[in-house]
Amino acid sequence: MQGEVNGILVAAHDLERPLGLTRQLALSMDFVQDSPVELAQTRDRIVAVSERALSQVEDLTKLACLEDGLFELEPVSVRGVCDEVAQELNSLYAFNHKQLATRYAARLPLAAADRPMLKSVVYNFCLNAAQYSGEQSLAQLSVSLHQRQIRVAVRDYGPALPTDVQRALNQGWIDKPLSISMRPGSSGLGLYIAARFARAMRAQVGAVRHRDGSTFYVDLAPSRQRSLFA
Amino acid sequence: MILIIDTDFLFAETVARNCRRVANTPIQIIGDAITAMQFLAETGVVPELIFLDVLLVGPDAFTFLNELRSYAETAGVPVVLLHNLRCLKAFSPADLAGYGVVAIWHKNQLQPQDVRRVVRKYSADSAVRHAKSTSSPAGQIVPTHHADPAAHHANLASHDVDSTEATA
Repeated sequence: MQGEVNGILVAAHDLERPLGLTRQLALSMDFVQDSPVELAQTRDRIVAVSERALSQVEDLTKLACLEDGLFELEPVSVRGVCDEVAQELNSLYAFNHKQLATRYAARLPLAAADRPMLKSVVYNFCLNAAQYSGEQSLAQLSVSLHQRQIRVAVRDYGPALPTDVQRALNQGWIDKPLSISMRPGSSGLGLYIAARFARAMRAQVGAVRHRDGSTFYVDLAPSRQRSLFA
Repeated sequence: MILIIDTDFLFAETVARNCRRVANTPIQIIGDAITAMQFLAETGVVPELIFLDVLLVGPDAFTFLNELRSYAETAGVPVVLLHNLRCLKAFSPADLAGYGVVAIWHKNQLQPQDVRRVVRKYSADSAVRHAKSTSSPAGQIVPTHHADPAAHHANLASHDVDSTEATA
């Protein structure tokens, strides 16, 4: 029962911010003084913030359905997923005076994954980097081969990750959201969702501590399709 | 100049927009306390008013407030604290008034007219107060390691300390 209440509180906490921001954006609109361009810009921001919140709600719903196994692993282009995430978050990074750079290794195989889940994992990592990287800093989204696995990593330049959180993440299983000190307002829900989704995809999430930030990564198994030409 | 210190640039921009509706003064948005202090030291600008988010990446609002109080030029700058915490009522309004805090607002209840009201009330007053009280060259920030609490309270006594949350 306590676990259920805690889960509800964490979800409420994470949804409070985008709802509060949507409210402020709407209140800031002045239909007499603002130009059509300014009104359109505010409308676009309201839509972007709302869509991010809806995406989070979708993740929470998927989380509840994980036990039912209502998904299948399929060959997924990791690079395609990363490009999609980078494009969606481009305006958020720009508005926060930050940059997201992408770097992909050559000749990447397809990964065995659930595309929406993988996208959620990468999206949450990049969103975390957008929120907690220092001003004018560059976050890096990279895809490479690591010990025969496909590694998707997000490097941010913000507060270092506490060792206990790193340890919990590298064990491959987080049983509850862990708020991260020095990352204010974080409930750890994004990280928890990423860890659960990764586990469902038989992938592994982890983190690397740096002096000037953190790297969050997910290691995926390459998709091994049977050759038709035996 | 009005200074807005908040990690959430989108939210800070909404506050800035409301400030612009009633004041022509420049508005600077900064994402963290360290960058804010560097900005104040390097530019020598003394803000008329500061909107300060409690939760910042790195040193938090209270660290910034301590730094602010330690310099003669910025010791009297009025500060509006912004937060979305449930436990901030534990802080005594009298304690926070000693740091120049003139209002504490919950972000989820903030109304545009609250921002406009405080900008109208404090930005002009701040300019007059600094012209009378400071003895160092105008615009320079000089650290004082032994700030006089009595002087701070005398400065702040002329303002209504509104520590209640903004009405919905």
